[in-house]
Amino acid sequence: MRRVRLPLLFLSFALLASCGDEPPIPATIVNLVGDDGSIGSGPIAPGAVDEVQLVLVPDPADGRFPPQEQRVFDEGVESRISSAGEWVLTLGSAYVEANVLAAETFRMDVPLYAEEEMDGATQMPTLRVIFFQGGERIAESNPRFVPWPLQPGTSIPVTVLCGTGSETACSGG
Amino acid sequence: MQRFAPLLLALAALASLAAGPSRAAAQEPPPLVVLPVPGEGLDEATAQIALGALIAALDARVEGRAVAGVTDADAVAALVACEDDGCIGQRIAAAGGAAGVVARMRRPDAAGPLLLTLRVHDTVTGSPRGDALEASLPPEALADADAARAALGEPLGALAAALPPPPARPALLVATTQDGAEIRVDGEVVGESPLAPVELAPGRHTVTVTLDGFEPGNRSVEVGAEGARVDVELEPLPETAERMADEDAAEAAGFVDGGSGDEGPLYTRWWLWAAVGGAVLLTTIIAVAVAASGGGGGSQDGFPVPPIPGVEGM
Repeated sequence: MRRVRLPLLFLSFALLASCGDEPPIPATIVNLVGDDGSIGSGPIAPGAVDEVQLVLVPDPADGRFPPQEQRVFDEGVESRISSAGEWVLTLGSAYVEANVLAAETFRMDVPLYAEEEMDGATQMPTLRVIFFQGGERIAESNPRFVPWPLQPGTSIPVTVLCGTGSETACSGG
Repeated sequence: MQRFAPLLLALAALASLAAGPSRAAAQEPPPLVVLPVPGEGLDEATAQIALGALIAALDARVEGRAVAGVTDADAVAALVACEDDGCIGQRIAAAGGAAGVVARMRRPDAAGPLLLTLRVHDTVTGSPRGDALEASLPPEALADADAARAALGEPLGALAAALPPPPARPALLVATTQDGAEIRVDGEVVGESPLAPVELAPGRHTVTVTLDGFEPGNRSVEVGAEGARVDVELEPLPETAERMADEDAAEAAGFVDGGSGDEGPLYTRWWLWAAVGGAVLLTTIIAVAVAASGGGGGSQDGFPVPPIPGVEGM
């Protein structure tokens, strides 16, 4: 029994020590990966993208995101609800520049979290990601299911493909 | 009404131009039809310009379906005689439309603007969608078709909400047993599993699913107007199957057998409590470190996503 008592004492101490401020809720990370040219029409260079849009579309059976005022965050990031009831997150050039990861092709992690408790009875919404350069759409992902409610601490890889005819723009040329 | 016959023929030509060659396929969705109701003071040439401009301006706003005019003289006469919405709905249905825009036109002053009253109606029932829209074309815009189309473009924005939504294309859902598998349709990569339904033209398509360590899966599927679903079960290659079996065995051993040769129930094993203590210590250190770095206090690091309302009672 002595072998059990010591760890139990330690466990109690550790639980007490961890009380106090609530730890942050981990975000769900969307891993944006630019195609390296093996799938789409051309590779997407890290410097080729100056704006990124994430569009989350509820399943038609679940209706739409309720209307909401446009929200503005630091580094030129804003979110809004489109007229079609989609949640649109726009990451401006300042954010993209500060957060793009050093790699041969475009890579960036976008953290998301649930603003309030989400209903688990809804269908999985779909997410698509669009890359812009100078206001022109140059690359886009296929729609991808997003586990719903958002699972804190998990990641969602999304591959973005260069659009046909945008090869030069995607390569940063 | 016979005097409008040349106008109606011209409308037919305009409608086919607006529809474009790609929309001529037999499997295209039903169009939005424009039903002209000529009224007071309207001459043929003016009506022709106004209706052509209306069709072209609507075509620029309607996604996924063609815009066509009702061109048959008898059909127009029947429409003029309509006294209720049901009659209008029947005229739209007779024209094969998904919905219709009734365009009542008049020009009380021969030198003044052409006045338009536009309203969207459902097919069959004729129920109006949204409010009627009043628009006018000033005399200078009636001088040429481009100017008339440009003059109508802005006012038609108010009708947009009442226009029928773009038709849904048939979609193919590819369900696989493994996440992260590459999915190709007709040889073209469409994404990785799990993948949302992919919109396709109706017909037979070949689906190929590949994942390292698994036999590729191939399916041929007929996609009808209502879409289709195909399930692709990926069979592991021998070495993958062996590895998976080993992992399963190791996992089972970890919970069922202590693996240390100790006797007695699991909770008496020293290594179990050491592991629990270590995990708690690590969690505590991380929590304290995060709190000390200012990340605590329930603050969020990321962008907030609002909840999806869902359907009540689901």
